[in-house]
Order: sequence, then structure tokens, then C-alpha cells
Amino acid sequence: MTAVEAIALTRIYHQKGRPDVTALAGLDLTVAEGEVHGLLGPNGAGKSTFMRILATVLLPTSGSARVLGHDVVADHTQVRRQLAVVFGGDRGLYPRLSARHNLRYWAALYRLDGRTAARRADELLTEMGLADRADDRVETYSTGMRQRLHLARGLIADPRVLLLDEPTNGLDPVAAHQLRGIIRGLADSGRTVLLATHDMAEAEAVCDRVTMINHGRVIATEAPRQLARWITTCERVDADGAGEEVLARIKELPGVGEVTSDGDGSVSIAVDSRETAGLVLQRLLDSGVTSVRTAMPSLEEVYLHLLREEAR
Amino acid sequence: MIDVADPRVDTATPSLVGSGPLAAVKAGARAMWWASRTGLADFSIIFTVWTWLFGWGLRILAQVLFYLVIGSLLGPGQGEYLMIGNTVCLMAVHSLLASASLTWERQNGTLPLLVASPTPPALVLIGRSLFWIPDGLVCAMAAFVILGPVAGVHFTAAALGWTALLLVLTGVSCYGLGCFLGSLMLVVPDLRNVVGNGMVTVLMILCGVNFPPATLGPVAHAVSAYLPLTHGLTAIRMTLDAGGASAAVGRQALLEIAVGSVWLVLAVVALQVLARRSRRDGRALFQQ
Amino acid sequence: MSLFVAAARLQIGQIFSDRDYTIELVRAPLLAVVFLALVRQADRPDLLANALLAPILMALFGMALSISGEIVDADRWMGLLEPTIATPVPFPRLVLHRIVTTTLVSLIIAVEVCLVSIAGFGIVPVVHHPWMFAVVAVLTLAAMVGWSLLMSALFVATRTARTFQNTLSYPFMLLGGVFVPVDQLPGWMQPVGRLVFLSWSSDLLRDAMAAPPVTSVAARTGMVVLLGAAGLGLGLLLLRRVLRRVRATGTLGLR
Repeated sequence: MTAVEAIALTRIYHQKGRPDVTALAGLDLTVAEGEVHGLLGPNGAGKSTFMRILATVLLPTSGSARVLGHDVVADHTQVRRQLAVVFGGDRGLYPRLSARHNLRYWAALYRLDGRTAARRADELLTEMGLADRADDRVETYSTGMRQRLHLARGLIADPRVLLLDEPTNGLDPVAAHQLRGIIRGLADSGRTVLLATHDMAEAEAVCDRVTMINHGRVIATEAPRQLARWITTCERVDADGAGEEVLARIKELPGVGEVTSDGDGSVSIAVDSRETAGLVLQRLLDSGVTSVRTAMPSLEEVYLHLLREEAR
Repeated sequence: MIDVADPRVDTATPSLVGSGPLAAVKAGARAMWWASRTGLADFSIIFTVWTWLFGWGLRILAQVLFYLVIGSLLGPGQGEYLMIGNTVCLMAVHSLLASASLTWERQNGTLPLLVASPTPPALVLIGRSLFWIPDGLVCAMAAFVILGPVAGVHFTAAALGWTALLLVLTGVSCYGLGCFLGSLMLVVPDLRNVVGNGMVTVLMILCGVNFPPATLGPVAHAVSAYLPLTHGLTAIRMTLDAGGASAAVGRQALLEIAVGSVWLVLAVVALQVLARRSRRDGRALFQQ
Repeated sequence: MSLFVAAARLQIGQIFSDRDYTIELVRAPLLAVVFLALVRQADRPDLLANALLAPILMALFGMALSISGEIVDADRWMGLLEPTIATPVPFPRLVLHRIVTTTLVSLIIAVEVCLVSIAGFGIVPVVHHPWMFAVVAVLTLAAMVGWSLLMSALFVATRTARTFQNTLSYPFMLLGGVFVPVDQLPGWMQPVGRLVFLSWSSDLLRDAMAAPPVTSVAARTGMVVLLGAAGLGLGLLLLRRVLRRVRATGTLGLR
């Protein structure tokens, strides 16, 4: 079943005395049930606007969006029962109340009865590693703890669809890694997760598929590993200690694309075929460079490449 | 060009040309001047011309009018008594806002930086909220001019002139109390508005704003003598009654200066103690 | 947990965890001292009801203005408005529950003022028409809820909470006749004052405390009901309009 579907979704913001801003320009997107789907894009790409429309707090200008078959405009009550949205940062919780109190309150807003709410709150606090601080004020929590509490709040009513808007924003690497593990576990339980993120590593590690959006439109949708193949059908060649002379000769080879140097002696050479990769490797070895390897482009490289292509 | 061989040049603190008490006073005054300019910038963020006029200004006039009409209901002469008392009390209302605005420094996270600087933090913190005094003066004078006729009172220009001076004096005196409370609030900033509002009402009870200080008994009367506003208000009442200054007014003014000075000194001492404690235990002023 | 209980627990938690919200609880008993001392010093025992009711009504309105009035706006800048709208519960109902809770909590002030009167001045408040007093008190509280909802919607719609919170207090107290009855204010103020439900409430409550029979009860009580209902109706309309605008124009952002 399709969990999320957007068809020609458009959202234009009208501002007095200023030109209209088109946040979404005919976005088409499908997310299957049980999938962890990443939304990648620069600031202003339309990710947050899309999330808000799905969460039913913003109306589209035209087009349609459905969550589990329910239209977000006509059936918003149904959508709200099955979907939860989680933000990053410090907003979205009552800071002067305890974690437990926050969760019990949100449980009531999702119409859970008292017993279920108490049980769910306890379960989630334990799952998120917050049980021993459950009765402390949220304002005393670290950023990582708050983010886990945000997630707990989103899960309180056991929603079938979860929207996560940059959940690891501002977290240290350890906390971010921990949260990613939790997010991966959500999908394993059959939930559909739509994750807006800037973090390429996160998207690669967690997502089944990734959609890149910019200027309110979809640029590409693929599994993270598949997206890399967009740039090149083969690998790129990375080497350490290659001199300028050998690089100049390599650049003359047909089929060699961009050659980027890190400045610390490492170089990355894009190639268009396996044969070209072989020729490049031969030249490097002949010149005495032995530290060589081949690799697929990272999601970040794909992302930046696609944005550059789109800008052209 | 500065000659570093010149014994007058303090090369350890290159911002200070010259040394000795006069230089220190100049440096302190400069620090206070810049602090007060920062405070003025804060003020311009709180209010625009329109929100000050139609928000704050109208509310202030309504506050004095509220008590004026109560006085009119109570009996002859009471309207004037309450009008004058509550108008002068506006200086306290404004000056005691320093008990809250002093804590903005903590919210900005600049307190540790102040403590680490060569300038005593007290100078900066006290200079920071000075803008409330001219604000209070404008409000009070407007209340006298607009609401005086409503109370059936017409003040002479001379009386109003002396009143303006006494209002400034009263405002500065109350500011000392405001700074003292503000220094305590640096440690418990959550209480800043409760304490500020509560203290204004306490002054309204004890300092002769709505009824003579002796109304609530000898203890309350004795306490009122050590609070700012009491003597300044008495001086202003005498001035408006007589149409000008007199020796008795001068005595009350001096008492007001004395009381205000004590509170200001207490504020400086409290701030210095807090700064020393913060350096020692890393808490106090440094906690966000 | 029922929605009302959840909302009430949240709102009580909010009120007592934010010191600023307790200002009226501190100020009201002090104002009671001011008014009772004024009345005693002026030798006007006939104004005792005025002196007792004024600080209570001022604080009730003060809490409505500063706490209830900023329920929606505070949620907005805490980033809680849209997550709350995204839940299944009707948002206006949730806001009303929180306002009712605030209004009920503010009744603590009545207890404080009575204590000040008894312990500080040796005056035991006497209510000669207790049933009448109780009915008017309940209707006044209901009207306060209605007008709190209007303020809550207005503040978030116009983003001028701070300005209004400062501006409205004393003008409302004056026109509401909380101490000086409206019919004793300057002539031009009286028609304006009669549009404020507090002016009818305060007159009725003072009359209910006094010995003589209360006149025109139905008509005057009806005005409290009418003006309170007007506040509630306008508040609901405006809040729904705000919600529609949030969804249609996205003016209240996620971030």
C-alpha cells in the first residue's frame, strides 16, 4: 500500500509588497508503506513545506496529497489520527514540564485513554533511555535527550506514518548515531518514516530510498546506492601521492572526467568506464603511486552534482 | 602618538592613557556612558513611538486616572492627593523596572564577559538601565499636565519646574533600590518580575502614595523613612502646595538623596560580592 | 485521560512553573491592603465592598490578560502551535479548557484577599445576598473565560501580545468600574464602560454584598451573560479564522 502520495503538489506563498514565493512547484512523490524515505534538499527547497502539508497544518495551493489513502485537505481528521510529525531543535516541548508530563499531555491530544497513555509513556521513556530522568524538567535536558523526547512524543499514539524534520540537527556524532539506530528500528516495526535531512551519511545509513528536491520539485528518487550510479556507470579512482606530471597525463586520457585534489596529496579522478579506470590505474602505478583505490561517489557528491546540473 | 617610554602610559592596559584616580573615574564614566547607550538600544527594541504613546503612555495615564477617580469617590481633596501620589509613584514604577532589565545581561550570556573585563561589572550593569529614568520623568510630567486639571488642580510653571527636578531625584533614588533588587535577581532571574511588581505595590502601601505613611502604624511609618520615594514624594507635595521650593523641601530632598545613595551602594556591593563568588565557584552569575 | 483533565494539568503545570504567572497572586493581597487602608483612612465603611472586590476583579482580569491571553501565542513561539493543530482534538476546545483552568486557579486570589481583610484589618467580609452573589460570580467567571478566548485569538492574530497586555490593564479596570462604579465616572466614559461586562458584574457583586435588596437583577445579569457570550462568540470566530489562516497562508511557521 502507498503510505504517502503527492500528485502535482504546489504551494505558493503570497507576501504583501513582495513577489510570491513558490515553495512547491508540482511535486510528485510516492512513499510505500514501511519505507524509510529520505528528503534531501538545500534550505528553501520545499522539504518543510511538504511536511507541513502532509501534517495537515498547511493547505496546498493546488495538486493533492494523500496519507494512507486519506486526502490531507478533505480528510484531515483521519490523517491526524494516523500521522505524527517530529521537529528538531528546542521547539515542540513544554520546557518547564517534565518529560512524563509532556508525553501524557500529548497522549491525551491523540485521544489515548489514561491507562494506555501511562503505559505508552513509560515504554517510550525506557526505549529512549530517558526513564531515570522522566520526572525532570525538559529544560534541564541535553540536546540529545530533547531530541529523543521529541521522537517519543511523535510515537506516543503509535502512528503509522512518522514525519521527521531534521531530527539529528545539532546533535553530536554519538547522539546522532544513537538516534539513527532508533529511526532504523522504527521502520523495522512496519512504520513509514519520511525523513527530511541535510546529513548525507544519515540518509545513506537509514533510508531505503532518497528523494532529492530543489526549488519545490523532485530532482531524483532512488535508493542511495542507486543514486550514485547516476553520476557514473563505473567507479571513480582515488589515489594518494600522485604528482602533477602524472595527473596532467591522466587528464589527457579520453573518458576521464573531473580530477579533484584535496591539497594534502589525495586526488579523486572520475571515469566513464571500466576500461578508462584500468588505464588510469596503469598510469598511476607506472609513476610509482601505489596507494590507489576505486569507489562509488558518495551521496554528497551525487547531491552536489545533481544540484549543479539542475542549476545549469 | 603614544610614547611607551612615557611613565604616564600604562602599557598593561593600552586603552587607558594616563593613570590615577581621575583616569579611573573617566574610564568608569565612559563605560557607564556606553552601557547606557546599549540600554537605550534595548529600549528602542521594546517600544516604537506608536507603541510607547498608545500602549505604554495611555496605560500609565489610565493608572493614575484609576486612582484619581477613587480619590474623588472617597471625599474632598482625596482625588488630588491620590493623583499626586500615584503620579510620583510612576518614577518608582519605571526605576524598579531595572530589577528586571538588569537580568537581560545574564540572558544575553554577557555576564561572564563583563566579570572578565577590567571594568567593574557594577558600573556597566547600573548604567545599562538608566533609560528608565527619563522615560518615567516624561510619563510623570505628562500625567501632571494632563490629569492635574481633571483633579481640579492647576500647577504653576515654577512648581512644575521644581517638581521635575524632584522627580529626577526621586527616580534616581528609586533606581538605587531597583539596582539592588536587580543584583539579587541575577541569581534568581525567574523572580525578577514578581519582585519588581511586588516592590512597587509595597512602596504604594508604605511611602505615602495613597495615604500618609503613618496610617498603617508606627512600624510601617518607621520603615517608610528608609525606602526611596517617601521623602521625594513629601517634597513634591510640599512644592505643589506652596507653588515652589522651600527649606523644608530641601530637607526632604536631601533625605531622599541619602536614602537613594544607601540603596545604590548596597547594589554596588551586592554586584561585587556576586562577581567574586562567581569567579570562585563558577556559578552565581555565570549560570545561564 | 479526558481532554479537560489533560489540559488542566498542563495549564496548572504552566502557571506554577513560570514565576511571571504568579505576579497577580503576589500583587492582589498587597493591593487589598492599599484599598482597605484607603477606605479606613477616609472613614468610608460604605466602600468596603469596593475595597474587597476591586483587587479580586483586577487580579482575575490580570491573569486573564497575562496568562490566558498568551496561551496560543506562547505555544506559537515555543513551536507547539502546529504540532497541536496536527492532533485529532479540536484546537479551540483545547484552548477553552486551558482558559477555564486559569480562571478557576485565579479564584485563589479571593481567598488571599479575605485573609488580608480578616488578619490584617479585622474585617470579616459579609455577603447579604449569598445566592445572588454566587450566581453573579459564576456568570462573571464565565464571561471572563469568553473574553480571555477573544484576547488569546487577538494576540496571536495581531502578534501584539506584549503591547496589549500592557495597554489594556488599567483602562479596562477603570471602565470596568472595579472600584468606582461606572455611573460615577465622567459622563463620556459611562457608555464605553457599559460595554465592558465587568462594569455590570462589579455593580451586581457590590449590591449583593450590601444589605438593601438588589434591583433589576434579571436585566443586569442578562447584560453580563450577553456581553460574556459576545466575547466567547467573537473569540471562537477569530480563533477559527486564525486556524484557517495558519493552514491557508502558513503565516505561523514550523520554525
